[in-house]
Amino acid sequence: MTLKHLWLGGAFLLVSCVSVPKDAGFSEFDAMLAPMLPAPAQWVGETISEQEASDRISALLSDPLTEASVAEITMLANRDLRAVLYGLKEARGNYVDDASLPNPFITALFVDEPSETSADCFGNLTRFDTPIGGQIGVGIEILDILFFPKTLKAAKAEFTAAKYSSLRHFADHSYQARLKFYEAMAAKQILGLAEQSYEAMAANAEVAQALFDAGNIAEVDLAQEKLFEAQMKSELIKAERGFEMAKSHLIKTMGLSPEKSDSVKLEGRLRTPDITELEALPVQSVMDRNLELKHREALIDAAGIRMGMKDVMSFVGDVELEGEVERHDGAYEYSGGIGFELPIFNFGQGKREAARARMEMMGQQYIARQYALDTNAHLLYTNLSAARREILHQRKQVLPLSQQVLKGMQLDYNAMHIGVFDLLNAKRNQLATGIAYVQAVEDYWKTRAAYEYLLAGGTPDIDASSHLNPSVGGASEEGDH
Amino acid sequence: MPSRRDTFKMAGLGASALALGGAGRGGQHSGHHAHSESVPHKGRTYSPGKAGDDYRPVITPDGSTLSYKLVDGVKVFHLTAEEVEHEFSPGLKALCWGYNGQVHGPTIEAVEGDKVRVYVTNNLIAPTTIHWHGIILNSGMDGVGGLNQRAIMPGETFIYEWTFVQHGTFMYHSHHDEMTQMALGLMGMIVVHPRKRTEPAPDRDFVMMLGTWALRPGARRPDPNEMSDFNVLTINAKSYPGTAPLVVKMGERVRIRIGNLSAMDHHPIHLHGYAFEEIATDGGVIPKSARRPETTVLVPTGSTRTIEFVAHNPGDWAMHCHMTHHVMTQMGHDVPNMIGVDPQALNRRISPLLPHYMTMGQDGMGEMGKHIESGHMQVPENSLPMVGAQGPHDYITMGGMFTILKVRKGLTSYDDPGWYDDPDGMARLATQAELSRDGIDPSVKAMPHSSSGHMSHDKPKSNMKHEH
Repeated sequence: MTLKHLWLGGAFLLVSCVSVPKDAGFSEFDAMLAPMLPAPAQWVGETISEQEASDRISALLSDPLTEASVAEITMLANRDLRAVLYGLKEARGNYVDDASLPNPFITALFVDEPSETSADCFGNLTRFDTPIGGQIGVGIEILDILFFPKTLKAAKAEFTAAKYSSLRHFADHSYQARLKFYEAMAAKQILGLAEQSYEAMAANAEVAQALFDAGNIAEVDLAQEKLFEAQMKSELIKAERGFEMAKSHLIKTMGLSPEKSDSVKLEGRLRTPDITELEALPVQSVMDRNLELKHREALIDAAGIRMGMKDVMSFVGDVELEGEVERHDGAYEYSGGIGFELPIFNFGQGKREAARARMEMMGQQYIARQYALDTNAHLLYTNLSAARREILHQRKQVLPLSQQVLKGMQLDYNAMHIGVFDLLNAKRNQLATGIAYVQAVEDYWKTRAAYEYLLAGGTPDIDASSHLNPSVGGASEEGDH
Repeated sequence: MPSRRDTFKMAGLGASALALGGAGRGGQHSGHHAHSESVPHKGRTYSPGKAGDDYRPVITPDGSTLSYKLVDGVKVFHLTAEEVEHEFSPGLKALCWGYNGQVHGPTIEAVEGDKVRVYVTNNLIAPTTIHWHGIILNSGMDGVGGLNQRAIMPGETFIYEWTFVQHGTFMYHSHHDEMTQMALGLMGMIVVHPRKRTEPAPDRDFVMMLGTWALRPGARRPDPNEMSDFNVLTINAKSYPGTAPLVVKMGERVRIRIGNLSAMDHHPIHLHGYAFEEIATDGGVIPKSARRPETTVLVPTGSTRTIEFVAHNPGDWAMHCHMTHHVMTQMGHDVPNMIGVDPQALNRRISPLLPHYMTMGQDGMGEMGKHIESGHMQVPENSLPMVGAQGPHDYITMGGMFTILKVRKGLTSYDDPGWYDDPDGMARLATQAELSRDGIDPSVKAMPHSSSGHMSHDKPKSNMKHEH
């Protein structure tokens, strides 16, 4: 057996050792998503066709939106999520690419040497024909071969990191949609209450007009009441704007097309929270499940493997194994050789230092995120506890008292202890209390969504957990893969 | 031999001197005593006056007269200042301060020349004193906290002692933290009968204390901080329909002694169906020559007025303060004026927001009581409708400082005889025949007469023009 046969045989063996799952881990991806989503994950173009997705979206939009339908619509309609899928596919392609042995470099040289000429003493040229010859050379980076198992491991780790990253994006979109749904529902309820508040002040102005027409009040008194109405109209306009914005944000987050956006129906009110005592914060579970940490772990793993490779490669540089077959004068000649950098001037210490520094940086960032996650988890737990207490307080104290006040004011009005202006103002105050309650419910649901997202492995933006920032940034401060 | 007139004169002068002595060093009379004496007092003592023998006891509607016991010829009274749950009228109670379990305190009744000793026990949470308003006595007994004595602390009992050297109608009240304690009810009446009668004794001798309170509907304690917006106006701490009627038999001589210790208000008390004479103030008897017929007597705060008449006109006669807001009960005085507005339009506008809303006051407040009495309009617990109560013919749209003088023939008791059924007829709906007879066309707008005062004997012309 020649050297050639040995080389080819070894290469075949290595290739046959590489096994990439057929779905490149997509089933595992679905399993990880399941606890984070209120509906099964759908992959348009994979698990469901474009037309089926469109039909399903239409069907879901025919009813008023719910948390579950919003999540499902988001999965089906959101193009960013589809981009995430393609990003994952790209990562899978990269993984498959990395999991393949590097191809040898082939050089072929054909030689058709020109006729040799010689001149005689008279200067006449004479042509001598020579036969056609050729060279075939095969070169391969020897270190690529030697480090192939490590390259394979690194590629797997990087693909895992890509999966976690995609998972985070996917889950975060669903979480974002949930938040936007709560915001839109709350905005709608607040709009309804603002409309009633405006109606109260409009009625107030009408009473004033009636009194003015009857000659009972002065023009300035009428103007004062009309001013109240006008101010309340401003509040109503703000509420209308708030609702339109919230609805637009929801539509944008769901990723609906302009045609489908018109079908969005928001009805009813935010679900009444079923207030139960919170169980203790499962800190370890939060840490273990956190996708961002997992993502970083995978990146660090990959970087570690590649750093080990770099330690060698930066010193020895390229090592190239070459073989050549040459046909000359009808006969074959075989030759082989090895080429490598001679580390005289550059021992690769710079690259090694850079690689180690990067590893250190990633390690420090990982620990920083761990600490931040721990702090934020406790903060979110505290926020949810407070939101829960607030709801209970509103339910047990504020709302009944508000109702009692209005009822009492009605009795006072009946007794002519107060007038109609006071009564309408009392109604407005009660509606303001209602708005505060809706905001408390919204806050509760958003905080609870953040908490559940956290428990499922997400990283909600906790800095603004009370009224979560619309641009929840759990997945946005990336750029490290 | 001095004449009877001279004797009286001398007695009067002597009494004046005694009064000065009796009043300690506080008198500032210049030969005239302003208060009323029927007998001389200097160097004289009188046996304690007896009800029936020396006087006909007064009646304090909705109140009582303070009992006493005789100890060595001294009438001994005991007042206990304490918190009392008082009912102003059915449906309205409040935690007030009173004496001996009632608001206001019981009437102290005595006879000129009586020596009295009044024990005052303070069962309040605050210090207090009692001032004997209008009584001539020595300065140390006058009861002004800080000026005449130290305050009676909670749990303490003070003793006051003096001899009545005058007769008339007076009052007593707290004179410590007056704004608070009087606003909560610490006051009562004093009636001193003359030792020697100079005028016919009344058959019915009523005592009334006028008062004003600030009590928010639904609250349970009057607000002493209120300065002007009083909403419970009372006679003997009762607000109509809680006030007991004054029941009188035809032909009886009626005396009504009215005191006013309202925080900020005077009260012109008007009696229907009668002209009366104002016969005395808390300063003394008004000489007959100075009396004049009246139908309304103004009772300034911090004073008493006594009126008298003979009940010759049977019927149910309203007696009330003529300040119209004083015959209303609890209402807000900042409510908008709704007169003349269209209630239907407002009801339609507001009802969707407030299902129990109903426009009120568009034609006045008269229907208010009916709405509440009918039960379709609820008011706060522990509150009174702003106007009175159902009467025999319709709703009586007066409350507060309002009562009824009931004069009847043939009464055998002074229990409430019920509503009067006037045999001489009453106002009623005019018939068409009557309208035609007298040339009254209700559809024609009535025009004022010309200033000439000339009365037309012709049927009125609907479009008659007046020239000036």
